[in-house]
Amino acid sequence: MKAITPDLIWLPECHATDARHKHISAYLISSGKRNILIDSSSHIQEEEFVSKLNNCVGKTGLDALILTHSDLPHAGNVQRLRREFGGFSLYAAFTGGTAPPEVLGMGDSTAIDMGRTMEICGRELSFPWPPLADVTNTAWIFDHGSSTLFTADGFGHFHSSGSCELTTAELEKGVRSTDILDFHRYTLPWLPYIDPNRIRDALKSLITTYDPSCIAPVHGNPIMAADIPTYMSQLQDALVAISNTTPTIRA
Amino acid sequence: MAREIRDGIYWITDCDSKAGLKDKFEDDPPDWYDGQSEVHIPSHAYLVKGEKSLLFDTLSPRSGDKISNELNELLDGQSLDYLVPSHPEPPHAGNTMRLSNEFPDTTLVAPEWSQNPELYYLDEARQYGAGDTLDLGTKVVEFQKAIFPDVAMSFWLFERETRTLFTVDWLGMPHLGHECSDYIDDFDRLDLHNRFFHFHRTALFWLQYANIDKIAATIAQIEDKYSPTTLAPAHGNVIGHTEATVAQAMERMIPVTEEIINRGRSEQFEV
Repeated sequence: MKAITPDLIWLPECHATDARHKHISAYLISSGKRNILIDSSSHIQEEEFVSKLNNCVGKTGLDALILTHSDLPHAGNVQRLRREFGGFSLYAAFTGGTAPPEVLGMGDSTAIDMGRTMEICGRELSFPWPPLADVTNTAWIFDHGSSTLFTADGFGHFHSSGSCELTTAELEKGVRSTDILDFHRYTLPWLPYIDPNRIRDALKSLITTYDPSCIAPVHGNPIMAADIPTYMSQLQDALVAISNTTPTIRA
Repeated sequence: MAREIRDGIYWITDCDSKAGLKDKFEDDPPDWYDGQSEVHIPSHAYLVKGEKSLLFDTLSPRSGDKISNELNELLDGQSLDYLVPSHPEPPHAGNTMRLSNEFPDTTLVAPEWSQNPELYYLDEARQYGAGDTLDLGTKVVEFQKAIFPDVAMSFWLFERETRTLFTVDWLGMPHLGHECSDYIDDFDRLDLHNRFFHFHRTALFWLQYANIDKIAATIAQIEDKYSPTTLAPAHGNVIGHTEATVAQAMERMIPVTEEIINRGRSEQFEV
């Protein structure tokens, strides 16, 4: 785990995927008095994750868990966290439909007010509509206190061993363009159908609106402010490259 | 109760009544709304029975008893040979573990292109690739990468003998409370455009960014490759009385997508 800012802690796990690693991260927003967890990581490293989280929250415990979506790498440990930390408040974007948190055994939940701002545990959190997501019921989150934009599966990238606990500011050569391209090509299989300029405009608008100090993806190194323009350029190149492919149905 | 839509292909329906949508449509009724009925968004599973059987999708965890009861009735003591969640989202894969336990001899199937299947409890599943086939005896299913997908680990399925195409999240639509097991041809008021528009601008939000020429070209590829007689979506009524209806339904998605491009995604998550 790593403190990105005094009130933002990064809790990464790494999974080997071909010759590279992929992060599955959670983030803890911690004011010292109250703790908000963004996503709950995967069940594969349940014990290690819970141990790390215990070290972070100590006797203060966990006050809130916000799930970006119900996909298992993000929501894999909710039941364990309930047993470990008891009565925290759960916020989710998938409270409607046939599989809300209650049906999935996660306990009571509150719906995220998409497109709006909520106060959660004394923090001002905004929930913009995400331009990049694998599952439609996905929330991006902007924490005004730490100026961090949590982007779930967006802004992800692979990384090589040795870069597992580094932010982009610490990566000697930055994030490799191929790692951004390959990640988005696999994770967002609808990208071949898109006009990349539409998504570029949506992303630019978000970044302009929020002007984040950090973009915190679940599947990538945290992207620090000075590196955002370069990353956005690489991401746009990746979107163009992917959308230049022709979807074909395998014979 | 399941409906046999083609010889040996059974449609297991599960409907979610949407009170919020009913209120919305009462205030501003689309052409297909009759002014009073419940509005449902369904989730479906399909059983393909040849000499062997294959279940495509498993419904949400809240419908575990339903899928289990329907399956037991349809199989009538026979085994479930293959269990295929289209993708690892709860409304589709919610009863995978339960059914694997209830039918311990079943073979769980996952996409060959899965990265880290262990994250989804699919590490011991048998993997099939795009274009691979499975002979069920009198039925042959072909696996494909989901053509209009959301998540990466997604199958579509095509049954070759009946030419039934299982389109998962594509071609979903709301229906009225009395339309649950009807083909769309049997609706009193079809208004396919508005039904498709309502569903897809929420469920496939990325269509707002689509290049319409690519969407149209892909629909033409589907027609050319499969010439389906029946379209079996996961969140919409079966389309398949006539081949004209099938072609019309797929081609209707072109102007629907254009409207989503122009008007954007739905700003609510609940379909």
